[in-house]
Amino acid sequence: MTLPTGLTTALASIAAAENDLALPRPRGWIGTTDDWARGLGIAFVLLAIALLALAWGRLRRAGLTPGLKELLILPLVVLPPAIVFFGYSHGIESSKSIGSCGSCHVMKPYLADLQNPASQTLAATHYKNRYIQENHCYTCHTDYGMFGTVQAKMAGLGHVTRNLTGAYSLPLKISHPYPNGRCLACHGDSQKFLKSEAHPKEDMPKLVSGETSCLDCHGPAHPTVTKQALR
Amino acid sequence: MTGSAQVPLLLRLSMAAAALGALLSLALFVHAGPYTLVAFMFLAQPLLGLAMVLFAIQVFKDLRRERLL
Repeated sequence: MTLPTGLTTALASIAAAENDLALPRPRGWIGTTDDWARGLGIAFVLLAIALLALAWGRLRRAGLTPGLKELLILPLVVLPPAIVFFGYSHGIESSKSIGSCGSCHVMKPYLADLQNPASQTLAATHYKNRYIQENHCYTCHTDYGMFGTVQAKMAGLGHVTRNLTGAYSLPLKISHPYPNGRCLACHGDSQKFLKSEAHPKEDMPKLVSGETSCLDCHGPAHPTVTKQALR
Repeated sequence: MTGSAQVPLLLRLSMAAAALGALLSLALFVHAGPYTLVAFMFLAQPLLGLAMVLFAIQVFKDLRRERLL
């Protein structure tokens, strides 16, 4: 007996997920903050919809009664702020994942290269050696500091708009020269970096000012993706 | 008393906005991605806010009609 292809694929993905879960969890593990935000968000949304359906049924049967007005306070006043809070909590956190960045068709070759152990690009080297633990795209493409996240979100909104309208051209190019500060934020204080003969002290001002790009020696960061590669 | 004609328009709009906003939010919770996040930020959130405002206006009108304000 042979299983349909779709079912085989589904079973394989479930098995892969189980393998991921086989990693031992810390004692007393009850999920991440994001797991809780998502779970509570779903619970509040379902509660709001159930209450609205219940209220609508009562409204049609008996009209607007004082008891019903009190009931409606929950789905119309109390739950919406909670849903918005958990929505932002889960949505903003999820938008940092590589899955979110790779969800647009145009980004798939970059994601494939990132996760390819044989690739020698800078992004793939960081990924396979786990120089960055999680949110790999976001970590390297976000400025540090208080407004880094806000700027990244605004840029992300622009990316979604351009992807929707098709207002981009291939090969994709970074909109501004990549700032060395993002590299130096992690590498700048490491002994490996400081003691390397390739990084003499007299060259540091050039690196800090951006006159010399880290990518001049350590590139390319990503593969060059053409229209043909996207098909 | 039967039919939705007895239900104030503001309340109906408020409930519809809340239901739509909640469903769009559910899409984000089930599958978080760029599009569902944008839909949440620019559609679901305003709809949920609108639901609250419309309900508040309806309550205010009721209180004025009952001469409690």
